[in-house]
Amino acid sequence: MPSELRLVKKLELAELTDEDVMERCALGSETAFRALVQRYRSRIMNLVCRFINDRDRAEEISQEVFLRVYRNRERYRKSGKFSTWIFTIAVNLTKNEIRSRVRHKGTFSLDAMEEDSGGQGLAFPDLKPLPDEDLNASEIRRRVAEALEKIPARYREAVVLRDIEGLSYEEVGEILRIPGGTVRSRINRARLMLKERLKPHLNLEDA
Amino acid sequence: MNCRSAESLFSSYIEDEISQVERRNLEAHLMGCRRCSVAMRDVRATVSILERMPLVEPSAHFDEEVYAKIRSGEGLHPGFGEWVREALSPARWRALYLAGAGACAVIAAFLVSPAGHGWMMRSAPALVSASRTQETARGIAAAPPAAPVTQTVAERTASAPAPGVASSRRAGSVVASVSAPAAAARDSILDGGIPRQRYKDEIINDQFYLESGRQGEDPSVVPVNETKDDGVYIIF
Repeated sequence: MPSELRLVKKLELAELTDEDVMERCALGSETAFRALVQRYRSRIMNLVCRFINDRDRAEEISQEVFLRVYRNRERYRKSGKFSTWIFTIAVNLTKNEIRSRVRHKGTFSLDAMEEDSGGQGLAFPDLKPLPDEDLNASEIRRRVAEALEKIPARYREAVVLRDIEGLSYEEVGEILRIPGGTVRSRINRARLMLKERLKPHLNLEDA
Repeated sequence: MNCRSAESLFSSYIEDEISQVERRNLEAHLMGCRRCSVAMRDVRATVSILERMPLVEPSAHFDEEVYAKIRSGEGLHPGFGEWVREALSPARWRALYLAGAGACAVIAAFLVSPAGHGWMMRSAPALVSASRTQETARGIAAAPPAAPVTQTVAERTASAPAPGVASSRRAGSVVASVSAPAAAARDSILDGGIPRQRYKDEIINDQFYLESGRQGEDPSVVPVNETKDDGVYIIF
């Protein structure tokens, strides 16, 4: 394909909404699928990594998210938002991962395990430090990640989707399949918990 | 407003999704409560940190690994768990559910239609006759045939008895504690295809029972062994 034509096609895709690109993908366009991967790889990776705080596993799960999008491309209905659909896939896969880790630890209920740990949540240590030029940003990220991993999963997933991914309350409710009032109360509760855990560092951040 | 209810409104206040009344109440509380005032400031700072969290970027070969899994076919086959979930998903069985619901609707419509009602009426006596034949076969050996009896049947005449009559009859009758199904099994009236309701405990004796009238009619005494052409009546 001539390079000029390829450029035109890329420009066309860049102007299309996610839903339109996904529709093309459903019709068999490999270019459209590549465009979706490029648009969402960081957000999906970020979401999964914030949930489980394990970079290597997060990358595998994120790849599986895109494979599922590809496998189920013909079932996608344009009436729904693509972002909600792909985030739902990512959240479900992440929940499966957390459940399998809980089972591996010999416990059947995630909530029960969290209660057993006195509300300390599940620790999934990320032993590999992330490369970061800004030491201060890296330090803040580490502390937030630690705080996030110590709050119960149902609060963590709500606050990550809202405050880190920037989704609306309605989208969060749709992805987690919970009513709007529950979304708001979980996010508020999560922020209060995180505030308690980050309290020693909040002044540092202000400075 | 107490501290607990104030805390529950922190997020709504920060995101300006709070009613005027709640805002006024919360602000009044924050003015007088240093603890909540500090907590509100800390929640704001926490949200600010979360919103400025940098993205966790995937590795440089992320895309290529996805495409390689598709090309090799590895990523095209669902795992067992995913396959089972897909097989049981409501979307897959939607056509079957709809077909089943449609069939049920058609059957229900037929049964409530005049044609369906007639069909049920024709079918019901055959079913009851079969059970009665078995019952009678057992009963003939056990008991002698009942003597002819006569009945005052209000429902078969235009002049229905006064409401008080039925109760006085009941008061003077020998009431046996026989269950309704047992009474129904001993009834030959259904053989004629005449559905009737009964009082549960209005068995007068082995030969008669008190039958509840249809809507708007009074109860009447009916012989247990009555058949369509008996032509016998009870006179009290």
